[in-house]
Order: sequence, then C-alpha cells, then structure tokens
Amino acid sequence: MAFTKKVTLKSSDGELFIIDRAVALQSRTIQYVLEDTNPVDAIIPVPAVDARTLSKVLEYCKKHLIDLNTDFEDYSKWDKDFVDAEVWMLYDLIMAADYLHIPPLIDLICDKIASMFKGQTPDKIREIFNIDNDFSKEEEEDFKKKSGWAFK
Amino acid sequence: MTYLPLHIIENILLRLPVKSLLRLRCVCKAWCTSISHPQFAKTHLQLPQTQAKTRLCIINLEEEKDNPFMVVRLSTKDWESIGDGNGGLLGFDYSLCDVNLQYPFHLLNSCDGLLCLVDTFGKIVLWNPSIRQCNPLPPNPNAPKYIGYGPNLNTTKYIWYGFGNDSSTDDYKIVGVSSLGYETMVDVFSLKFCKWRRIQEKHHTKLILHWIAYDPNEDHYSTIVAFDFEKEEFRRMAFPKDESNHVLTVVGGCLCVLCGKDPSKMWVMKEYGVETSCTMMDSPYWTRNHLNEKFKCQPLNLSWVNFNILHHGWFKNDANLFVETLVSHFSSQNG
Repeated sequence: MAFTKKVTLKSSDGELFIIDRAVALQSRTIQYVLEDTNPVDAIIPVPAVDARTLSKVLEYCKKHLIDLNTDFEDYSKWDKDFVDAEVWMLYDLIMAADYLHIPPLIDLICDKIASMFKGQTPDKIREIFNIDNDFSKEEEEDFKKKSGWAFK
Repeated sequence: MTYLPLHIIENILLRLPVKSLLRLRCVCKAWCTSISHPQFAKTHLQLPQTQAKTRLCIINLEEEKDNPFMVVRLSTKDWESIGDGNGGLLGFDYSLCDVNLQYPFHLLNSCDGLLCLVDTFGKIVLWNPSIRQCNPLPPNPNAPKYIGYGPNLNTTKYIWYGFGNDSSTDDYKIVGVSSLGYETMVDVFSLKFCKWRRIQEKHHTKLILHWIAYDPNEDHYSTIVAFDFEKEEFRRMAFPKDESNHVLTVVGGCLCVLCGKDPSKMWVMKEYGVETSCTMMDSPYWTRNHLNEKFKCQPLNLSWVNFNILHHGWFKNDANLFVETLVSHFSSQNG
C-alpha cells in the first residue's frame, strides 16, 4: 500500500489545507476515509467545517503531534489558551471536533463549556448560550420551590 | 447561533456536579429531559471524574432542641485524608429532619450515592443526600413481629438486612435474613418493583451474603462465610488470619475486616475472593469518636451451619464511602 505523506483537506468554503498525514490521522473520520479509499494525492472534502474553524482545529492537531514529548504543564497551558475563545468559536470548534471525531479536542472543549456552566444561574446560561426558555413562569417557580437549595 | 446537537450537550452536562445539574434542569425542556433520564444518572455515576470524587461520609443521629425526633446528619471527608489525625472533615453538608429514624440505627451500605439506613424498629430509609431525596421504604411484611432489627439479647429471633445493587437486573435490592429460633428466612425488596417477596428455595439470584464466623476447630481464628443464593451453599472465604477479627463491613464496594489487634486498621479485600489482594488500610471507623469501641459480637443462630456467626453492634454514628450521584429511587420504580 502506497502511503502519501501529505493529505489535502478541503473546507466547506473551498479552501485547501495541505497537511502531514500524521496530523490528519488524529481525526478518526479522516483516518477512516484514508483507510477505506487510500486516495493518492486526492482531496478529502470536509463539508461540515469552514476554513476559519478548520485552520484552528488543524492548529490543535499539529501542536498535539509535535509536542508529544513536552511535559504535561506546558501542554495544559497551551490547551487552556487554545479554548480561551468566544462562545461562538467554541460552538464551531465543538461541532467540527465532533464531525471530525477528535476525542481529546472534544474533551477539551466540553470541559471548557462545562466550566462556563458551573455556578451560573439558568437565566445567565440562556443569555450566554442563546437558548430559548420554553418553560412557563409557573413551571420555573415549581423548580425553585422543589429544589430551591440547588439555586443558592 | 445554531443549537448544539443533544449528544454534545449531554457530553458537556455529564461533566458537571450534581448540584449544578439540578439547577440546569430549568434552562430548557430538552436539558430537563436529558438530566432527569435514569440513563443519564447511570452514565454520570460511572464516569471516572464522578468516581474520583468518592469521599468518606459519616452519619450522625443527633438530638435537637424542640424536636422530638432525631436529626440525621451527614458529613463528608476526603478519603485520602483519612488517618491523618483531625484533618479533612468537610463539615455538615446535609441534614435531614423529617425522616423519623430512631436511635440506634445502622448504615447498611452506600451504593451509587444511595445510603440505606435501618433503625432498631426495623424501619428502612433510602436516602440520596445529593438530590435531597429521602423516603422510608414499605415495611417488610414478613419480618417477625415485635422484634426489631438486629440482635436482641433476650431472644433468638431477629432480622438482619443488606443493601446493594443487582447489576444483572439493573435494580437495587435489600435482603432481609430473619431468624425465628431454628428457622431462617430470606426476604428481598426490589426497588424496581417496590415490593418485598420471600425467596423460595429454588429461587435463583446472584446475591451473596457474608458473615464473620468463628470456628472452634481453627485455633479460634475467625473466618468469613459467604452464602451464595444461586448455588444455595455456604462457603468459606480465604482472608488473612488475624486474631479476633470480628467486624465485617463493606467500604467502597470491598469486603473489609477490622483488625482485632489494631482497631484503627482494617483488611480490605480489593479483588473479591482473592486472598492475596487483601491490603491493610486505615479504618474509617476509627476517625470519629472511636466508633469501633462499640463493636460487639452476637451469635446468629443458623442451626444448619457449623459456625457461630458474629455481628457488630449499634452505633450512634456510622461511616462508609460515598459519591454524589443523581440516582433516584423514584425513577428506578418507574423504569
């Protein structure tokens, strides 16, 4: 089987990314495509991810490939800075990580969003994450009556 | 901004502690449905990050001014800090007034965040302190009348209970072994069906009960006897020999025996049935008020076994390992 060292990814908005095969293999979705079809010099389309998000995801994949020998603290600081982003960017990133199936990146972003949920009131969370409240006033009062201690 | 798919939302929510999750149920209906689902509670409890928060819990029954009933208090402590003297007690996190438990009581077991308490009158209470859900269970209709839980010095009649998870049926069960002189009967309460039933001779279940027994033929060393309901047989379990081992308990899902010589230590059988997995560890019972001074031995009259079976006595406080979970004994009944 002939292995190409470079892989070309095409974002939803048509931009091409030529990357090392080892970087691309961190995505299980792309790994399956490469295993199944083994495209030589072919372009792999990534229709669910735009160029801005894909470049960010690839930045993560490259860092985590090169710095495998870096000690843990350096690594976690880089990760922390990486997810220090606007909510919309985290949304795009988690959708891309989910589509491309990169488990450590999914974990990283889920942990980040979970930490943003922690200690927040439901009102605040709806506001930050733009979620519609489909409960009636009565239903909301009922929650607070039954488990008011959890709101303190 | 588009909504995140539900499986991603659940992946995020599973990383949160129980108290946050209870609050976040009222963000929107979809979140509420996810968090309230029994499968969510199950997944949440099995996650390593949830299990990593396992702590020691100590339960106290305390008298309170102007309150005719005892107050059940739960305090928690980091497992790692056990044995370092006075450090680590996290204070009274929860208290509960409306469960009419009487002293003395016994914490049967802590399983998946559910604590099972039984008092001297045979009243059994299931409590998940993390979601503040606490309910007395229906009384065991087959329990011998006029005798409470535990040993009674004036009679050979008594009943003992055990509580645990039956993974084969995804259910929580309470087993009551009652002794009326020479007759021994076994009743099982299933949380799923919210019902007591008497186990028939041929009934098959994977439950195994354990006792500490004293064998006069073995230089007075005690031994652990296990009763396997499936095979309906008693068998002896290998455990490190220790003079006057006489307190058997389950801590963190492991069989443990408090050491006779040094009561601040206990043997923990880390892998069930494997003698070589037994490790000497600090005992949680020692950390508060020298609990183990109150341990006592009582004979259990099982005429068809050639062992004198021993038990421990009563506490005003009791301890076990505890983890915060969403496991609800109501959803279990409906599931």
